[in-house]
Amino acid sequence: MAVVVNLDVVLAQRKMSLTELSEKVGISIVNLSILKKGKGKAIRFSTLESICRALECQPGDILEFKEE
Amino acid sequence: MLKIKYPRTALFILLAVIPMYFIMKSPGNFIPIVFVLGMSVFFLSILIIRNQSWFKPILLGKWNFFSDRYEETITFDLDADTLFDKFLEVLPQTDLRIRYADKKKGEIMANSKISIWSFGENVYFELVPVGEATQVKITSTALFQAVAWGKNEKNVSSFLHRFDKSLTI
Repeated sequence: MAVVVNLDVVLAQRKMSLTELSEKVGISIVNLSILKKGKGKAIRFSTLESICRALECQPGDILEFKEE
Repeated sequence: MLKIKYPRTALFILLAVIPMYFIMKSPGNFIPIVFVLGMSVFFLSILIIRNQSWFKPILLGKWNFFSDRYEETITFDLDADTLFDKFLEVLPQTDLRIRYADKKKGEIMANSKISIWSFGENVYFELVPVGEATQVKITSTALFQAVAWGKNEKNVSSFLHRFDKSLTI
């Protein structure tokens, strides 16, 4: 996958669990888990915004482009 | 399409009216009454036991010629645990209602609502882990219809469409 989701890295840096993030952003754990594993088809701007707000980070910290 | 607000009530009224009709038409003849009552009891009991897990092998058995079915096997690039939870999240967003779910066995059963056109179809999901992916067998079967007129295919395709949409997070 060219676009890599670094949600697990940011979560580890913030010492936050997926359950905590789920409660903060109002997105189910299963959806966050799918997102974390990079198995989602797309991410909404609203989702990205709420995750960035909860983790106090930039979209670039969560998403990264890697040459395959 | 004709829609009835309370299909179950309509069905019960119909099942009560049919024997009454036969009784009034031929008072001395009990054979049609017994037959119709027997059929009514049979249909009603099937409608009650259809949600039980032990009914699955009977309904999907190779000797059941009265239930049309449609089967589709798909492999998802997700682990079985996550996929199971995701299915439970997506199913209530479709026309299907979850009747039982067993995470250990990887089985989910849901059914569609009873309408004037249908007794509702049972939809079975079987999740089998294949490495890091999961193979899912979806079987939709109509209860008393040898020909379901595409209702089974519609159940499966509408679920898969909804699932695909839900992957936009």
